[in-house]
Amino acid sequence: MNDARLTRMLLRPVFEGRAARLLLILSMGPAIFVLSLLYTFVTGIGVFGTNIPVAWAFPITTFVWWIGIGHAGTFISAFLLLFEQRWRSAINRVAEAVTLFALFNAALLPLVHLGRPWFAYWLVPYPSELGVWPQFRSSLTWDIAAITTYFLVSILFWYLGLIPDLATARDSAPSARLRKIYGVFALGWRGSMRQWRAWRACYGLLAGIATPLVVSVHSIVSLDFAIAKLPGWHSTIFPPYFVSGALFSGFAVVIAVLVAIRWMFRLSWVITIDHLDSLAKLLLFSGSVVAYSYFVEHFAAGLDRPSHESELVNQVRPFGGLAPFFWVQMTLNVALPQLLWLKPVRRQPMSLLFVCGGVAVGMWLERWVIVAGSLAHDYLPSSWADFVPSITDGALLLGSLGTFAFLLALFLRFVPFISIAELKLERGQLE
Amino acid sequence: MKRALFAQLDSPERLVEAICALRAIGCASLEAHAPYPVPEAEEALGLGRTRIGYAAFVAALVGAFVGYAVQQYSTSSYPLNVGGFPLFSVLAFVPISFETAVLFSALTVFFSFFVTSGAPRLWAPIDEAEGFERITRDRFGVLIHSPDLESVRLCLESIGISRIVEIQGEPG
Repeated sequence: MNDARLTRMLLRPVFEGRAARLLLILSMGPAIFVLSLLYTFVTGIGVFGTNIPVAWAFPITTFVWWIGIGHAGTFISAFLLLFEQRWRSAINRVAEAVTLFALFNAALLPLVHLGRPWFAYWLVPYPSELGVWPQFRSSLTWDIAAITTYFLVSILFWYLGLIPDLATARDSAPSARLRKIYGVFALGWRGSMRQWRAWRACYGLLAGIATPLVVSVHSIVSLDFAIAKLPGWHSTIFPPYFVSGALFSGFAVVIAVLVAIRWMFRLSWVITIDHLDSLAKLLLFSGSVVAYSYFVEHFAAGLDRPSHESELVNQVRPFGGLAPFFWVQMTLNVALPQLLWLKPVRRQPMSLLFVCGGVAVGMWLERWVIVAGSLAHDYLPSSWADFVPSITDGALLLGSLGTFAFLLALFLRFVPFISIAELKLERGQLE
Repeated sequence: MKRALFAQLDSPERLVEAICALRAIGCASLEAHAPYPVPEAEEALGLGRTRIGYAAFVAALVGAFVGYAVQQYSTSSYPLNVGGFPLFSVLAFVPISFETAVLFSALTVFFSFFVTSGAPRLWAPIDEAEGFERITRDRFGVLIHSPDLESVRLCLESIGISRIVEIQGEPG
């Protein structure tokens, strides 16, 4: 296949895609999201099941889950770029989009959780005559810096990578209107060597910058928990534990999205079984780190003399009220991925989809057990109380998932979602 | 009025060959276009490394300093005893300082791209050249500014390049 044909094939979904009906159906997701948000904001945060002692519940759990999912995209585009893993060029754009839309949800949910989101600006340091500042010795303010930075850097990285392909779309556009629209976003890219030199330098640098960033973000998210003195939270293992969990859930979602795209757009010639196989190995690896972290968490708690920590981690979680969640979590996150040792499972899209779906659910449950489980069982038995989610909690979660799907569909419809220039480069070097 | 020639080729190898041939006859003002980065062509054009990396590093230092300064200032200017944390909690200020370093650095890199690549320039005379739209697809091109365009044309033809168009105006 020559480069002209490759370009035409990869731009076909952008120029010939017909997705109006699908987009209409998917717009239910954002609709549910907006309605439940409006209801929450107008009525107040009491519409959540969240209450004392479980003051952090669905929005925080889902936030931690989404931001974790974002990590895989950055890992695939940045880490693999730095390690010169050429095969990433077929999948990096989709992975980055997953990051972006996951982060969109992740950035929104803590604001919802605030209860009065119109005061969200209190969290950033702005000069005011009151002279009151955010409390920077608390880990919650670190979160704002980490999430904002991560979201911005992800957008810049994604857009920079997209510029050459937007120019390709401009130059291949079937109509003058599309030519103008893509032309504006392509910023006058002409593929000159000076531009390519600047692009390569900037893209490589952003990858280098994004790499430590991505490790720092989920570490900081984990510090929200680790700094608090609650059983099940106050643990030094948290940063690496959360980062590996983040990559684990992210790989699962990226693989699931890739399998769907591969089938929808008949792209098995670009996103090959070998790609899925490599990603499945990454999934298995990060899953093994997660399994080891679970082991350390429970082993370290068991070393302690009888304490709230050991009681929560080794009794309440496996045998108490949290047991159903805990065992489903263990099955989905530890047992299920073991199937990936088998080559046929890694190389069969449907079985991969099954494992990935399981991991995504399992990782949400893990965050749920950590977030709500610890709050429900703190040091004072008299304040123990279990959490009962409300309908709004569920609607918000559903709406958040739907919004992710809707944004992803918009992206697939209007943006060249395979990195055309990088794919040509990869092919050029192979020949 | 300035004039230039735009020659089109089919492969990165031919592109490098053409650049070398043109440089051999003394053409200094050259630019090459390609659908994907061709490091060999960059080398043949004599483009050095960019200095964006240094800018990114300096920006990171500035970012870390600004981030740290804001935190330290705000903590000291309204001293509150929260959970016994000291006012100079250096370690607690590290995460945000790191994030601001990353943010400043990334923004610098991104805007350096605009400065070094000349973007956004939505239109340039070269866009009107016949076949230029294929540069982002599968073709390679060399743009030559020279007072003596005839000898340039001869040189290109001597290495077997026939797709040559002339561009009027200040090409991009």
